[in-house]
Amino acid sequence: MDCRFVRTTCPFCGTGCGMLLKVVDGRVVDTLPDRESVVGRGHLCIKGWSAHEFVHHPDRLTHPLVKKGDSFERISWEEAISLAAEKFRGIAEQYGNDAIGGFSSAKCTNEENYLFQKLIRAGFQNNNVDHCARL
Amino acid sequence: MKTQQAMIDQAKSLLKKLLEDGEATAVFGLARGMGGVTAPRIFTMPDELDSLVLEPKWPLAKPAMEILRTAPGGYRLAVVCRGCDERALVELIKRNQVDADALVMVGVACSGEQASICLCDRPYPSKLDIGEAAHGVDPFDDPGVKYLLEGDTHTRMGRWERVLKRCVKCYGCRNSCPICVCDPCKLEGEPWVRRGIIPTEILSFHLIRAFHLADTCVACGACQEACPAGIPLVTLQHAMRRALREGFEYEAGLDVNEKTPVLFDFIQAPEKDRPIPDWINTLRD
Amino acid sequence: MTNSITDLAGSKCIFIIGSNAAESHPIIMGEIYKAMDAGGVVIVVDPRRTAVAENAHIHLAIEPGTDIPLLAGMMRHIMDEGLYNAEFIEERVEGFEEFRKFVEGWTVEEASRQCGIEPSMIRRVAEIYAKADESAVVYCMGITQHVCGSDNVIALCDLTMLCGHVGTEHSGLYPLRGQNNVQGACDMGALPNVYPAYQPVADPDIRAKFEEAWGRPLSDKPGLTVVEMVRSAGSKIRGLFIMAENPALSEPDVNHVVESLRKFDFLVVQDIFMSETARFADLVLPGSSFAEKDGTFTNTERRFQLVRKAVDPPGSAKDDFSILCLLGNALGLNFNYESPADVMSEINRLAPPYGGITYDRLERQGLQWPCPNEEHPGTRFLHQGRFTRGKGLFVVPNHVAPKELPDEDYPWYLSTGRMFAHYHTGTLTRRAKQLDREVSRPYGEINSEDAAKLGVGEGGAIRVTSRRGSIVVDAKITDRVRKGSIFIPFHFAEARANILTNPALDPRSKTPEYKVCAVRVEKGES
Ligand code: SF4
Ligand code: SF4
Ligand code: SF4
Ligand code: SF4
Repeated sequence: MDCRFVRTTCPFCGTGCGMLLKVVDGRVVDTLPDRESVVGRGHLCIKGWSAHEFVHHPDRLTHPLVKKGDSFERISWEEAISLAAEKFRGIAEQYGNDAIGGFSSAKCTNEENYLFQKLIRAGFQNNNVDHCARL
Repeated sequence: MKTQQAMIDQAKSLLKKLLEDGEATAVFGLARGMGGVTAPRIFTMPDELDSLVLEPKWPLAKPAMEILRTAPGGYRLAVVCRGCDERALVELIKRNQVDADALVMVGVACSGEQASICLCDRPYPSKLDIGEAAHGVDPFDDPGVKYLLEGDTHTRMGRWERVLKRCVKCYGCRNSCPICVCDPCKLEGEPWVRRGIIPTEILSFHLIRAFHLADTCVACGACQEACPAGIPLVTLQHAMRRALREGFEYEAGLDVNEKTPVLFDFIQAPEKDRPIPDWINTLRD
Repeated sequence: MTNSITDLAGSKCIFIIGSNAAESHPIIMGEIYKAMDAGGVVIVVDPRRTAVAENAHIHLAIEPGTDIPLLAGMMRHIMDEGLYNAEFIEERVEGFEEFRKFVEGWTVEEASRQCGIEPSMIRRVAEIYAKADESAVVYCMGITQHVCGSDNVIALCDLTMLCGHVGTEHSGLYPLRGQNNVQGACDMGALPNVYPAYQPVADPDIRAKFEEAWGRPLSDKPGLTVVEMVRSAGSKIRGLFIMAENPALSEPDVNHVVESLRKFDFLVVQDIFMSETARFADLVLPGSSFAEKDGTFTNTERRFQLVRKAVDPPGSAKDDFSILCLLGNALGLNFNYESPADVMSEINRLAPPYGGITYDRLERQGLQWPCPNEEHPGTRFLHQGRFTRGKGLFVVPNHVAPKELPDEDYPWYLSTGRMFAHYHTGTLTRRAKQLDREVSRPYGEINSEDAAKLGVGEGGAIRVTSRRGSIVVDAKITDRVRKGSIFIPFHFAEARANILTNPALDPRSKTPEYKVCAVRVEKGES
């Protein structure tokens, strides 16, 4: 049995309490407050205590999906990425760069947000990038 | 008085030996990791124990029980136990939550300083392997505890209401308590607790929790330490532990073979002169 | 926020306005309790009697959307009594004369008439705030989600500067951020007008720096906001990439949003669940949860903290960093980063306030920006001795009443918000057993007198209708809400509170008015 405690940061509110994820044989099974963290200092709210519960939920998306008619079909990553690139490039050629935009995410990491805005700004020479943070 | 380093060295060699001799499959304790941060860790190789530390206080009994629950047959876990960890594990053994044969308890003494932070009257395990027993403190000498337990019923209730009303219903007290193991938990819903609102009901949420643990609580303080609202939860338990000690000469966590009077005496032999404890008035002697 | 979370515990007065911290930020609430135990006074301003209000010393139940009148009344009294910090203003703030005229245009009585609080109470609260050694202001969406949300914030800044309650350990302004990394998303330039670290896209020198670093020409024209992009679906905007957001639930007037999502020529959604938004996508990319990736989040006290990978993403899902790299490379952008840490070094180079933030240094307890270099310890509280812009500036706030007030046809106030067991659009929390057990169905809080009038009991169905749509929720009867008001949490996809809300925007921040609109409430067909 492989059992580890991984220090990380709560994924819910902007307080950012420190937490430990208990991982047993490749699955996150429990959340504990991190008593060494300066944020939260060993406390979590009810949401933080259940942070592990959605991680292995059966509804998780596991494959890239493309819309065919009214339903979705699985495709490979190679296909998915080139489809996205092709379509966005096509739209930019037809309607101009300003026809592309992106919503980045207040749930994603700083590095991901950085790459996202760089992708839009450098990729399409516009500044149509925002996130739904006003909520 | 041994220095902290000497204690750690002694613990390391003792625990390494347990792993090398096959006495334990794994050791559960604290490790200092990246950035000098301490966190609980399962050590399976003797070398890994080089990162072992004994501080700060980190209640390990409940996670230890949970690890043992999912462990394969034949797994033996050596747990670095402070006094309260040991007492909690004893209670868990009593209630068949932990298999005593799957557990190797390695007892570590707490410092006097830790005892005064915890208001602990027994800052050492009964089987002490590492360190020397420090003097305990009497929780009833603490002004905070006194304040909440003194005065007439009305005054006390007012004080408790003020602090209990702060509850944000995180369930941290329940989740951290090593001996809170009921499934389903009575605090999770009707008829006792109304779902979806805070603050929680004072009588049904807080007092059910307190009374449920009255005879098992080992005063480890984990509930209070986990409470974001700063509610002095252990104070309630201190009062009940004292009543049990005075009325029944019973204390939880000391002996695997000693049954709790709340379960047994009331039902089997309501001994003539034993008064039902007046929980609240424990300070009025 | 200007200060740190734990600094709150030392404040002598905490003025909480438009925040139900006990439910939405319980851990920060813990610090507020510590301040109370140390003798601090806690004042709460909220139309509802929230859990915070219940625990406070003073609760002012103002009329919805009248924050500026209340604050103006308080400031008038502070001026009249000479309780303002003249020395602080003289030394550190500009624009006082203009501001004085604004305040003198108000009287405490007029403020009282508008916000519904007794003049004596307004005076008392003003005195407590002004006279305490160190007073802090805590606010949240109850302030920002109004048409005059930015002005509300301005009025709060004015109040703190007027009394000199900023720039010390336990004073300051505490906006509480809703989502885990709102701070970081803004800091990293996920905004239409600025690059990372709020460097304007319109500034030619800044733009030249990024053009050189990224090797691409860049645009000097600010882009469109979320709401604007949704409104230009299929016209100005044809292709949209949404990463882990769910506007079909989170934006106001969602019926309209859903129609728009159908209009994009090509919509890519990257998420971990098939969200209400992902259903409308042409392409769905499976991303990773926080437990499956390395990176950093920045909390509401500007603290960068590490997020560490604990397990692999499920199936062939990938972490979002890798997906962005693949896509960036496919677009010819040279996204050849080895790891998120590699991205962080680029951020260090291009965003000066984060220059000293490296993964090694974050291990122990994170770092609060500004942290310009490797030797800098990070910044616990801002504006010590001087404001970031040099001198502070009094700005005259402009009070605008809520765009939609109750009338004959829609006689109730609706406000939306959070409850303690769920988070945001519920995509994550509603899949957690423990949280679903607390609340599994959409509900609306109504007053017991109103419930009796409607003839509904606890848990009975009520239909709530606004000019934009209609939903059915369970009645939750509580005297926390006043008569004629209903409060609906927005976490539930099956009864989307944002079908009802008014998409009126604060012209400056573009924040929608989630906190006030007019609805009709009827007994529902169950
Ligand atoms: S544990 Fe609760 S308070 Fe802390 S960050 Fe998570 S959601 Fe916020
Ligand atoms: S409660 Fe007692 S035994 Fe437990 S950590 Fe505190 S002092 Fe040590
Ligand atoms: S002190 Fe609290 S956590 Fe520890 S055993 Fe007693 S009730 Fe449980
Ligand atoms: S830990 Fe404190 S706040 Fe959380 S449920 Fe228990 S008493 Fe309430």
